[in-house]
Amino acid sequence: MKNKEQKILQDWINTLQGIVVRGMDSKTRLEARLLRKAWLDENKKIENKIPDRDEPFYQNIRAAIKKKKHKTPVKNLWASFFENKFKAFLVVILGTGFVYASKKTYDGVVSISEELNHIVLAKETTDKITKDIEQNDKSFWDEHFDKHGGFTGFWSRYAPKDNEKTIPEDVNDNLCSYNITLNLEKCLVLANKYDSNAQFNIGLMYELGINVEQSYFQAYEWYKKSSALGNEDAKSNMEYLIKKGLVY
Amino acid sequence: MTKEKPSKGHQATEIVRLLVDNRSDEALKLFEKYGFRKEFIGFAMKSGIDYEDARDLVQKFIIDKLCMKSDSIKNIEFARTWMYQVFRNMINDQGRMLIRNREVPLDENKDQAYEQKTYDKNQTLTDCVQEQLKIFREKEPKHAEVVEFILKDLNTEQIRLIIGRSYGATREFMSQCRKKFRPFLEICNEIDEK
Repeated sequence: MKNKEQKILQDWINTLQGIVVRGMDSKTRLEARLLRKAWLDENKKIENKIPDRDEPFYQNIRAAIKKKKHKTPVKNLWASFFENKFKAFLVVILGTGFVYASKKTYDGVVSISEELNHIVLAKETTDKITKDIEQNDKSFWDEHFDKHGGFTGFWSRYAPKDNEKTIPEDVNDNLCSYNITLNLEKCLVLANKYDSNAQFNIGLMYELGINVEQSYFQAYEWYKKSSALGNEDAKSNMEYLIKKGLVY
Repeated sequence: MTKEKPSKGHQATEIVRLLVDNRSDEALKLFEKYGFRKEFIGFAMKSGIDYEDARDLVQKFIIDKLCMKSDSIKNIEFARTWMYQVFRNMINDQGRMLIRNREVPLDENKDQAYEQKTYDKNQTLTDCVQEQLKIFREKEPKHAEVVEFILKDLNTEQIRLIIGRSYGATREFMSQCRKKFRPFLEICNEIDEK
């Protein structure tokens, strides 16, 4: 059935194109021949409306081609871009917005990762004296309720902030292990003994300005010394100073 | 020994080859010699565009497309197909706008002509078919366009490329063209019987 339909279609097409087809359906043949004749007659009518010679037609084309070939493609590109001022304005606005947004996002992601890697706590140096004091275990009540009896939750609201780590009670501080008691002279003694943590702490003192005058350059130098002894945190702080543009 | 006349396809390929070689003057001479100016203007006029606009459209086609973009044709053997593909798009983009700007409330008249179905007794069968072909063009422009391509000796593969359908879908569309035109012809059969 499908083949028969395809044959009728092909016969119809062939007859339309002026090919003589033998043994085809007479009605289809008549339809195709009528259509072809009508089409040819119509073509003649239309062609009669079109002049046989039209020299200005080609003159215009030649002039336009000449003009187009002289134009540089760059100029064409800009010309077409600014042809529609609204489109151009929209493209510029959207493009600028996209660049601004992506830069902000990128800066945000980079700065967060940098901040996370940046160490701001002094490292504990080795020659500390640990007192044999009994562990002061806080009761559940002390841990989760304040002195007035108010519930503080399962976290301590009095917990020290990261960069304000306090000295544990059972330790005799050597003045080069905790941010609040860092002392340059004590640290220098340890640093001269190639204690990389002490060198790191001096770097931190200079960077944050703890008990010394803040100097990123000095901080960088001390971090460099510490990282040379294999201190990874000193290395990451050193990179932080460079990335932030604090040292050159 | 007589030399066989090159087909329209070969003529179009010859023109495009010259354009690719930057020999636009010779290409334009051949364009005229092989009757492509009349062919394309006629094609546009059949879409309902008047002569002046059709002439401008063909000029634009030659300048912007044929001369400037002929080197982008993938298969130069299909140059005629490419020409019709591009020109058809131009008619769809710009030609329709020209028609819209020119004629206004003709739609009602068109319907009347289609609905009328009565003809002058003096009208011949050929006149009737021609009239019906016009109405078919107005009612079913896409189908009429494909019939036009068939009559222009383009094969299914070439028509497929022009209208942007698969081979099977194009065959089906051609079959629909035949079936859709049949009722238009039946009116003329009545005249023939009388």
